[in-house]
Amino acid sequence: MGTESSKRKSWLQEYRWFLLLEGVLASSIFFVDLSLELGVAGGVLYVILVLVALWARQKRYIWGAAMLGTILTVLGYWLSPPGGEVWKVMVNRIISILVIWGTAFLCYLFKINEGALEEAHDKLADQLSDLAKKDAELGLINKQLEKTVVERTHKLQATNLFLGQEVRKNVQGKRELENAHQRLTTIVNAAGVGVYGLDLEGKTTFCNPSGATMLGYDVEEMVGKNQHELTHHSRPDGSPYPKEECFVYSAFTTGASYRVGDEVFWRKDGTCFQVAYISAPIFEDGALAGAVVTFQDISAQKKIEEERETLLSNLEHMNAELRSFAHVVSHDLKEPLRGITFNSKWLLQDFGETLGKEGKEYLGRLNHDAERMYHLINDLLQFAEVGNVQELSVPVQSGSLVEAVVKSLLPTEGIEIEIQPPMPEVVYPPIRLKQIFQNLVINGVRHSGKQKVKVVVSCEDAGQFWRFQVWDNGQGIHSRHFDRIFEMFQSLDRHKSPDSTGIGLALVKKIVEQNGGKVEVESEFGEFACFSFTVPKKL
Amino acid sequence: MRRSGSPLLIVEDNETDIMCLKKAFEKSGIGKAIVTASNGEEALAYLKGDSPEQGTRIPNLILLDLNMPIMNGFEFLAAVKSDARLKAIPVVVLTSSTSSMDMSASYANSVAGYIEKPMDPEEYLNIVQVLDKYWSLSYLPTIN
Repeated sequence: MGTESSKRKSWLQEYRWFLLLEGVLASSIFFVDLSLELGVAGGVLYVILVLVALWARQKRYIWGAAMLGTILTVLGYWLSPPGGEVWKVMVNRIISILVIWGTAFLCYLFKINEGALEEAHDKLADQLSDLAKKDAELGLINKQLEKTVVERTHKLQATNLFLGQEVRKNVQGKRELENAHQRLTTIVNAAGVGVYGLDLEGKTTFCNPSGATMLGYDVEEMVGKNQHELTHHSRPDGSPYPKEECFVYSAFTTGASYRVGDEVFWRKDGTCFQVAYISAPIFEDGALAGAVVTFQDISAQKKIEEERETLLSNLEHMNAELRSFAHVVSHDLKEPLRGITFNSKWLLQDFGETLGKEGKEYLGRLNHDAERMYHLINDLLQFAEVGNVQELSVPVQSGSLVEAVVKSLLPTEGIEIEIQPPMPEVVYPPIRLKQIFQNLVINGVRHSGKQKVKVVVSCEDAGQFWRFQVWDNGQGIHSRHFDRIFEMFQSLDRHKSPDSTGIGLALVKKIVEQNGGKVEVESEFGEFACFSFTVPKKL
Repeated sequence: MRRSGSPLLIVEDNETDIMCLKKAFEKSGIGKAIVTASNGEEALAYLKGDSPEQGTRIPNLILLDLNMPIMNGFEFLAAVKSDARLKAIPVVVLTSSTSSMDMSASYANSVAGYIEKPMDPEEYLNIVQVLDKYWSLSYLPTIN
């Protein structure tokens, strides 16, 4: 509507000028016509009006112009001054009118054509613009399409890339799977144990070479056969072993693993061997799919175990025998010894005078040796018993124990035995601890060689141990003897009293080591000697 | 049950020990008659008597050694304690064994005492005096 009104407006503007022009032209021609003689076809000039009307858009102006020209021609006829021949004038005027109307008609046709042309032109323009629009649209669509294509291409490329990766992964995965499979097969085949797999019916699905060899079969002979019937059919004594009781089968039925160490497998040649096997169920996708059994020939192992058992029991026997031997020996040796001692004493008592001085000396030495032998036997028995007899460790107050030991030694004048506090509580067999201190303190006193004997017993904290020390101010021990003195029958006692058997320190060493400690000696020849031993702290 | 006049029965195979005891009894002034048996079998035979008419002999005290041939102290003890007539006789074990197991076994067999033989003959005097104190050996006949 807008365009129409604007069209109208512009047309109106045009209309003004056009009408003005027509007016001017019409007036001019009219005057010209009037000024001319009637006979002249002045009316033909009104064709100009018609022609000018071409300029107007609408065809009505042509008719309008033609009408006006006609009217003015006629008017010119009426108004022109008379002259000429009537018929000439009439023909003139008619010719003029015909020309006007002919021109009008032609102009009309022209206009129609023009209109049609315009229409066609418009239509074409429309179509062209349509086309252009369509073109533009197409262009847009094309662009869109291109964009979409590009997008799609990108997507496709990306997908391609992704797929490519996936394929590669797949390939790699397959390869890895193959490798893993390969490795597994290699391992299973190389293993020193037998491995075989069973399906749900108990038939062998695979077996590794070791297993087949152990059973005396070829792998092919085993695959597909019922494994229990082939190699696990009987117990060691030959009695049949029903499938239902078999632990390998249980792996199927219960889905649990079983470890068995006391059954036998039967070889192809009919012999059997002791096995230890583990049967475990196999699951595929959550469902029981079979079982795998790994087994080992443990006959050698069993034999070793049996031998070990025998050895141990033999050892036990021997130990027991030794214990009773030591006992019996010491007892049986002591008896005649007592006989010797007593009788020689009685001899001395009852017949001493008759024997005389030398006789008494003989008897004295006889007695001395007999006494010595008695102590030796006792100490030997003690030594043998240490570690062989079960000894109970109890908490012992070392301080009071040493005090008791010292008291029992009845130290005389000139012998000073000092106990330095603190003396800790230890966990030890009390009799043994007493023996240790007895031996060490007596040693300290005996080997003094000095006028004033001083023995000091002390204890120091050595981390995980207590270290007890028995120090004496005696003549000391030369370092070259340090190792030997702990051996049996080594005595550095010059005076050799009967109860100096030479076993004392060996006994101490044995007791200490039996109870998780160590003995040591420190000495400076002529100055002092210090024996120390460790006792582990019990938590 | 106590018969005066019954000697002391010493069951012991070691002659030195027997002599020791005899001397000790003499020296201590107790001086009792002593009958010895050198093993369990002999001792049992003595106790059971020579003939059924004579009946069993019941000493007031038996000193028993443990280690003897043929029938040792434990076997003798078992035999005596299972005999109704004999089981009331007090038995004191006098042994050279230092084993605590022997001691427990002896007491388990209802002995009245357990003494370890000393190494010093003089010690025997003490033993004899103790025996006298606890078991009134005065009822035993003296040695003439």
